[in-house]
Amino acid sequence: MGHSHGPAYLAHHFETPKQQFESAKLGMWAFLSQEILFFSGLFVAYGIFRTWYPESFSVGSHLLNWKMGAINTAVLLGSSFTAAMAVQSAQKGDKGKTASYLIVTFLCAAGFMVVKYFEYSHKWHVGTLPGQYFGCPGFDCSNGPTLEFAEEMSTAIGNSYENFGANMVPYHLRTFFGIYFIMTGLHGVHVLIGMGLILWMLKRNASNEFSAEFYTPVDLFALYWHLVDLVWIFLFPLLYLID
Amino acid sequence: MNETEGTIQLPPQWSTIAPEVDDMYYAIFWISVVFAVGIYASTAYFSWKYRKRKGHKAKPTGHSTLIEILWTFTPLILLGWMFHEGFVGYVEGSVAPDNAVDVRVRGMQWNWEFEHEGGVIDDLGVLKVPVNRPVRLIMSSQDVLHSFFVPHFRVKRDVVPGMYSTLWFEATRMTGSEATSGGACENDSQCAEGTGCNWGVCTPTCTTDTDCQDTLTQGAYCGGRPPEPGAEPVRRYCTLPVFCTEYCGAGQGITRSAFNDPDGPGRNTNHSTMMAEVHVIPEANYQEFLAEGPPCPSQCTDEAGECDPTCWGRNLYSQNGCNACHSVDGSSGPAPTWQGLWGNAREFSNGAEAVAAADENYIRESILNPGARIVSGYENVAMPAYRLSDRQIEAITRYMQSLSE
Amino acid sequence: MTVEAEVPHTSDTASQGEPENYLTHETGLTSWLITVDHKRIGLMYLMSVIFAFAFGGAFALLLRTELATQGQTLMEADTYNQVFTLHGAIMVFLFIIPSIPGALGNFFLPIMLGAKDVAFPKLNLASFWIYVLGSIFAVLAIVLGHVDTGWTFYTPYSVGRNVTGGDQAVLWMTTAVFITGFSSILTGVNFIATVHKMRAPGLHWKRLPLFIWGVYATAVIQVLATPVLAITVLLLFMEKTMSVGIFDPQLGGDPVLFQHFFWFYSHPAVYIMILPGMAVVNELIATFSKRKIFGYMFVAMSSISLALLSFVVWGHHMFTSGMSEYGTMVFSALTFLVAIPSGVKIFNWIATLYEGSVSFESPMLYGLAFLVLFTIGGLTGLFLGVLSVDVYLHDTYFVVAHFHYTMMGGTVMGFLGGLHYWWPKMTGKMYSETLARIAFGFVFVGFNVTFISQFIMGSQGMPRRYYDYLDQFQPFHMTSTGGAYLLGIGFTIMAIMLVKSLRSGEKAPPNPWGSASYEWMTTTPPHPHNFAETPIIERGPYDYHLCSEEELWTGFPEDFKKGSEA
Repeated sequence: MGHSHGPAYLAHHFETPKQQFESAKLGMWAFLSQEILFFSGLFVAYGIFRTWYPESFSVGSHLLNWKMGAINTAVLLGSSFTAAMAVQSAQKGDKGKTASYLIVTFLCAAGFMVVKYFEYSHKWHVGTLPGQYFGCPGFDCSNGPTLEFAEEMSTAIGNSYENFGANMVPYHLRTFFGIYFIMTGLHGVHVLIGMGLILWMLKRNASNEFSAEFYTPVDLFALYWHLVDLVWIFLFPLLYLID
Repeated sequence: MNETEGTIQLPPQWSTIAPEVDDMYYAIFWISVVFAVGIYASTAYFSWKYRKRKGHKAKPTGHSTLIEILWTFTPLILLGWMFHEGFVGYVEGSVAPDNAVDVRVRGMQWNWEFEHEGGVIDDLGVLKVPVNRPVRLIMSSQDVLHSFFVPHFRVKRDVVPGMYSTLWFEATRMTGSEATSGGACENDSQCAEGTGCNWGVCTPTCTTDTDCQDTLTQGAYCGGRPPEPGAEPVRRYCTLPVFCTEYCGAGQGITRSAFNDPDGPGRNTNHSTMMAEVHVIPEANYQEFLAEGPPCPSQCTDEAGECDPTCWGRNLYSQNGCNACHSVDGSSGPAPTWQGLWGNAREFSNGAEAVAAADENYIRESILNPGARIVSGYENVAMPAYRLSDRQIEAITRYMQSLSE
Repeated sequence: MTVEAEVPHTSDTASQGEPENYLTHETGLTSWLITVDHKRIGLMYLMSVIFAFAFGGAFALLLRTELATQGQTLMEADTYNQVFTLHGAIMVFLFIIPSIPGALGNFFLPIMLGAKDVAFPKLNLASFWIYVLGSIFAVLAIVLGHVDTGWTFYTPYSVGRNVTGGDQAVLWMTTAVFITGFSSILTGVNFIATVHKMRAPGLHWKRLPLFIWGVYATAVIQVLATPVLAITVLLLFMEKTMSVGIFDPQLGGDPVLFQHFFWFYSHPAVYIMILPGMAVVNELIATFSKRKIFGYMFVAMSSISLALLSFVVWGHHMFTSGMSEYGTMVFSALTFLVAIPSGVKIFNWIATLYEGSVSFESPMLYGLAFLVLFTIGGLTGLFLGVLSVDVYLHDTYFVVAHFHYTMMGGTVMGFLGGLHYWWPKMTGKMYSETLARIAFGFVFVGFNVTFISQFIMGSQGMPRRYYDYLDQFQPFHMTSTGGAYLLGIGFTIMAIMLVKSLRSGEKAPPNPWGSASYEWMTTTPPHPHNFAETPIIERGPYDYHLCSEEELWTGFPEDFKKGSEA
């Protein structure tokens, strides 16, 4: 086929850059709608089990560190802003600014993951783990729960909306942490994928692929990133801030 | 053939809701036939009439919004009617009348256990219900999903672990031979040849399922268990089958897992053989059953229906797990052996009297209230109290007697 | 429609003066394995799904053989349970779902749109390889263990804690389902963007071939429903490995919740399966009646409304599971609505035959078979929508026969019709019409023998997934097995016919059926970019009355020119 049919970024099967951009954008929206349905399943499970076992969710929530969650919320919101700014700079063809905004976004994402790491490793260490591993530090149930676990548990129970007495550990905390880990875990995977995408964007930006005419990948990445942010906006209050 | 006797499509009707379900089934069937014939006839006619041939050319497709709207929306009326009828039938089938008899049903891989009122449990997989009286089943599962299905009653309900589900039906006919007009009886001599008096009903006896198709009804099945290899033939009665319709697996490495395999434990080894049997019996006999407990198992009755209580006792001994602690050969265990127990003086570490002879009353007490007197030299191992009927206790006593002879 | 496919591009023209085609313009194994050409990807899908179908079919024959007689015929109960699980899982996840969209859709959707490729060719390739990866996991599950849960993976059986069953290999199988799900999602995303944005000039929505409408509606379901399945199997995975107590009642979970989740995907999935079949049949009926589909917009919209309705009727799989009476009422009422768009399609197809010029080449035979069999499948669906009757028929062979009439009598007939119809375009070879008709005869008769007997034993109360059965069902099972063997013979003849066609089939003309639809306007086999020049669409795909005789010419273009000169 003729290679003279358009600029270098125009793939062979598209007629015009506009068609290419619109297709990509629509495809991304379709993809995001499946992402929403993907997380919806988890939110439904969350809703059902919170209705059935409110005490477990209350205590479970108090076992999470809301301060870390709040920091992460702020970090992600900030990164969403910088991602939007990266798109704007790319639209203007400002390669330098695009790169810096992308780097800031990347750093925010990395910051999020570092906080996440601390949260997870704490839970690993204490034993606030899902299912049969609840009360088993490091997924090792042979030694039984640690003192730290017991202390955290009694504080959390004391703070929850209904005090049952320090010895009443609600049974369905195992389910709460199952849901906590699968929700935040899948979200974390999305953040990691986003970080990979940023690196790819940076590479393409460095090799002058983007211009005021062609900035589609940055645009699509930002859409994806906003969704990742949005999911967290729901996760944070639902997991960390319930009474 | 009368519809209550079953048709090529549906088995015989045996409950109060069966005629309603069947009427609805046939209503939809004939509606479907009308539609299908219409669709096939017009397809065939148009394909033939407008077939490709010389000089014939397709006409450009016209357009008729009226036709479109008509055939899009008029079926709604029919569909609305079907929905309504089906829903009404469903609601009727899901709310049991107040005067219903309760039976608790436990599903487990791969058996049904029926606990009748008062805790009376017949052999595993035997459900007895009174005729012309609503019966409500309160069902639970011990392991995985099961589903309780009796085709003749047109009822089905999943049995879900972690919750109770209920189902009700009212049987309209006894599971007796038609040859003796419904088949009420008091003993075998009143029943025609090929039938036996089974809880007040002359019930056809059988050795294969096919026997029951003619003697009882279409879709019936031969209840009881095929005899163990080499054992005496036992009397089996034709009954209505209970199927499990929710897939529940199979035991691994069980080769003889078929219904009618003569060489082995055919039934209750996998999902497809998770069978149970329903006996619909007269109200009076049902009350007698509740009062006196389950009957002598068919393995222990001879051709004339006479029970061998020693055999029954031996059965109960293994069925109830007595063998886990009590030996019958004199060997020691966590609990006293049954060999030579009968009639011996027992010394107790607790209780009012220190010594008593092992007689009927002692044995009865030890079954119903095991902790009352503990034989010296044994720990109280918290043997569960067994809810056995007088006749079962008597059978166990007779078995013990036989071990002391 | 102006297509100048014959205009040779100097650099593109092959040695014998043949127009360049997608099969020959690149060679070597890697030119296939990492191709981004939707046609080659479509062919790879086609080979994979045919392979999966052969596998699933072999399992079906094993099942039917086992059931031919009472007791043990071939295998033990435990083995039987694995075989029916594999039959179901392979047929559903590896054959039917990817069959028409993945193979025929991939190949023809861009061509029918006058596009050079799908919107995201690399994603398309990724989606194929993800499917292959998923299939590998499925094979591992078969090899490594013991998947005997049924294709529905109902809990708590599949969790397998303190119960007999639920081997660890279930993890492999659910992983396979998870992965193939992503393949399905990506295909859906790709098709949505392609249909919206890649249409040739002049191809507005009212000129879209109905095949596209059907595949488009399917894509919407694929994108919106499949992620829920992904989450479901993920939660099942967690339940099995960590006992989190979501689906296992022993830990406070709810097995019925699993069913809700599962059917929230799997009911729409039924439409992922049937809509493409209907989509193909539209093309068959139009082409072989030489007439535009009657009520075009109603038929197009019926696909869309089926797609939407499919999301709100999942509860009808659970009428006996323990839902509230209100739940069953709502789901039953909504279920009846599904009958409307299905009926609309049937009525409009019949109206298309009226005043057409109907011919009966093998693709049309499959099209008519679809009409006949899907009618039965649809009408028996009414029995199952009526609550009181459903309670009786649920989980019996009646249901088994019902969904085989829709899935096999519907989708598979549509798939086979499409395969026969487009075979010449895809391969450039004709096949033996005689053999094709003989194969059709076996398939059609065999199918009905197999499943009508299952309707009867089902309404007599024979439960499904049974390894053994009572005496009374023996004749029906025997008949059903006989029918299955006829099917096996039919498919074998078909396989022979297709292989013969590939090896020694006559060269196919560009438009052997004289169709007015767009995909026939390009060369055979198609140009690497589908059309040498982007076509400009000036008429609808079924506007036979606007077509010149040359456009509808069924022979080679040279012959037409000779004929018109003579």
